[in-house]
Amino acid sequence: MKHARAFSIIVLTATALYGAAGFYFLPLASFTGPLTRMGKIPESLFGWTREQPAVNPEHLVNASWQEADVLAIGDSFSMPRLWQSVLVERGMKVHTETWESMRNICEDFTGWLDNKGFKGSHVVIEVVEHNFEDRLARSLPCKQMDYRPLAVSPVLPPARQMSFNRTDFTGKLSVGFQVKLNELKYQSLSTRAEFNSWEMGNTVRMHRVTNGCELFSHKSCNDALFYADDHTGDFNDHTLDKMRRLGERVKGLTPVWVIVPDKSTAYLHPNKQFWAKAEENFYAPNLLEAFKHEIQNKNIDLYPANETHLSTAGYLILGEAIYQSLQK
Amino acid sequence: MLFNSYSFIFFYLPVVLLGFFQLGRINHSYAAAWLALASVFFYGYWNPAYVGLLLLSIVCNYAFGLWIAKTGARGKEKEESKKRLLIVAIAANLLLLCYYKYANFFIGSINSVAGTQWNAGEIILPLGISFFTFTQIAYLVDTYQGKVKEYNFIHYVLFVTYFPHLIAGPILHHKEMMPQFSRISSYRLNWEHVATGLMLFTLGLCKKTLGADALAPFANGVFDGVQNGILPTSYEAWAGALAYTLQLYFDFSGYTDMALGIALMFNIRLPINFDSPYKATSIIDFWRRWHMTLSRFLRDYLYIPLGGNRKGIGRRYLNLFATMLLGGLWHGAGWTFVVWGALHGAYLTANHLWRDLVPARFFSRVPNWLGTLTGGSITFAAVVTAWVVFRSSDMAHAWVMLEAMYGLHARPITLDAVLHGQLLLTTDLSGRDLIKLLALSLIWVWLLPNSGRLKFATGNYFLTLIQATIVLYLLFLALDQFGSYSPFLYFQF
Repeated sequence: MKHARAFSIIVLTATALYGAAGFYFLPLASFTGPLTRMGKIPESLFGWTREQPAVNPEHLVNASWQEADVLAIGDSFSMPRLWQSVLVERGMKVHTETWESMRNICEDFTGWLDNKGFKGSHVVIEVVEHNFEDRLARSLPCKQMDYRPLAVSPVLPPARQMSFNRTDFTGKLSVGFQVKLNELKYQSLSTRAEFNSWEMGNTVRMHRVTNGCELFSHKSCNDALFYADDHTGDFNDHTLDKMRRLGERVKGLTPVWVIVPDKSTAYLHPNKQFWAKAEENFYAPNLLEAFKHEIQNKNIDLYPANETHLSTAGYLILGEAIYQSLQK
Repeated sequence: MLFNSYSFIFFYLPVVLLGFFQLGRINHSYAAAWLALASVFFYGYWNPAYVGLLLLSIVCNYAFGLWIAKTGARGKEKEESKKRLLIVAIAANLLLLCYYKYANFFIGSINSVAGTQWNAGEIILPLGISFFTFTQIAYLVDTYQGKVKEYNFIHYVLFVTYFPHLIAGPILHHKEMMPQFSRISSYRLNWEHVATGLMLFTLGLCKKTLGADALAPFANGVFDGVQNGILPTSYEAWAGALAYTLQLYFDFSGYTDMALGIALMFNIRLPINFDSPYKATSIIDFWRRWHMTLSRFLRDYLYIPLGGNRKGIGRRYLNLFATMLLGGLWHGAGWTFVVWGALHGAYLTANHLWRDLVPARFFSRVPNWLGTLTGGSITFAAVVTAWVVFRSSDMAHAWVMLEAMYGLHARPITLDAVLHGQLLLTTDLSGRDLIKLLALSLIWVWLLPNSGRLKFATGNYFLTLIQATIVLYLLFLALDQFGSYSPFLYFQF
């Protein structure tokens, strides 16, 4: 009996202590942005504080295949339908599909599109930079469309302010501990004069940004979080050739290439040449130039510190650039 | 409230345990009442709207039980009225169950055949209704047969509502529970029971969070893909079917282990519900190992009253088939469950026929290991096939899966492509991860001993420390999977 008692007391006490400590730190693990969530660093340090513009919910509507002027095939940058709202506001009808539903742009794309009843004039092909080569590589060998429609849910306008008062006790207890440890580590690292970057693991990198507090609104504005798998190099002529070959499949329509620069490219490696070359050869807005311009003009939170995606303001800039391309 | 939730592990369970043993020191009736109250709270935490229904069902069945018992005590001439009372009480229970569980199914079936437009409105299934209804029907029958010896109301409420079993079983027998509630030692802290209970609970939690929840996305991915009109490859269909087969086992047996472990901490032994069912070497053997308390219920309260094997061979097989068919329907209001029951009815009939017609000496020269392996393989394949029907949303999609599994109509793919990472095509999940999970899970279900054998090993403090370290590590791993809503599959039945 004494051994069972010792065992039970050890297990129950250790579990109770773990629970008590875990719940104490768990509110730290209430995340809004993907980079704070993946990097396990408090939102109170890296969550944006500057109010974002309002978007009319009526401009977030998805047009049907038959009535759309523009077909947008995109990734998570197209899902909030924010850049599309700029086009909709100006009277265009946009039908958005994800890469998950479209899978690829295959050889029979144009005929397939006709069968869907699409009668518009433009196809916007939106891909974030770090996925671009992979999307091209998957589509080019594809012979036949394999469309798998996803359940469509209504899109709501994004929050204009980030809420820091959320206290969420549903997360993993261990994450609360890790967030606290990361916060302590960050406090120690950030005070060092030579601090430049920190590989946080789980594909997140923290980087010191020159004039960071003029570009970001979060509390620790000298530093921002970046996706560690962002594309570091510049695309070459082979990529342009692949774009040409894939663009040929969009017969009778105008493909508009929207390659969204990675956050790392916009803030840390803004001298890439690909976007300028693409603009020369295709209908492809020079988004890197547009974003560089915004950053130079100290547009705060173009990409918020806790995000891999754009802020609402950033999406509206993206929409404006796409709209200009569609007018050419 | 879920066993695999913070609120249960860190708040509910410690508070109920402490309250129970503290009150047990004063008066064991207080402790029993506390446990009954806590059990009703546990039930109501989910959906308070149905607490009234549960309590009404308990009060009515208790009253019927008393009435039947007293009628019986008056003499033999009252036998007929006793029987009528039993029939009324059982009918009332079945009507309640039918209304909540089967009304829309029957009306929908009639509508589809007759082209009518009847509508019973939206009926929300009260949690655990099949379990608490069957438990109480068994009580009524036992009372009728004079097997019930104790009529303490608090103990009866506790017998029905006792929170470890209330939602998803095991289905309890009055005679195995009431004596435990009456025993004074049940209200005294027993550290060995607490220790073994903690071990069982942790094991069950690991089965659920590390096994079932890990397999679920793969099973869902394949079955949902088929539901969305995608034709799977044969390999993929088998992978999805195996993932579900193992998910269901880890989910349900994990829940049962947790229930047994929790109950043991309160000094209550619940009957075991699983005895390594996928080690079964025949379908008869499988049903002696899978959901054992349901099998026992169906045998005692359906198969035997139908005549069992006492009315000739033909009637025996008919009874067997009917029992399994109704057992299938017990799981849910849908044709897939009926077909699943019918399949097992057919399997069992075939298995009994085989035993009856083929003499054992015919196989006397076949080595034991070969017989076991062959029987086990056929049984496992038959069980997996039936689970496909059980899991599918309708028979049309079940048929797509089965055709793919047996190569009748599948998306073509070469083995080489499968070996090079194209196991899963209907979902974006990793085929390699699934293979690893399936391999580990199959090793678990085929080679490891059943959790019923788990017991705290006494000996010395070093052994105690090792056990505590292992349990704490597993508990940490399981707790670290929390963070999303993950109910148990058998809650819906």
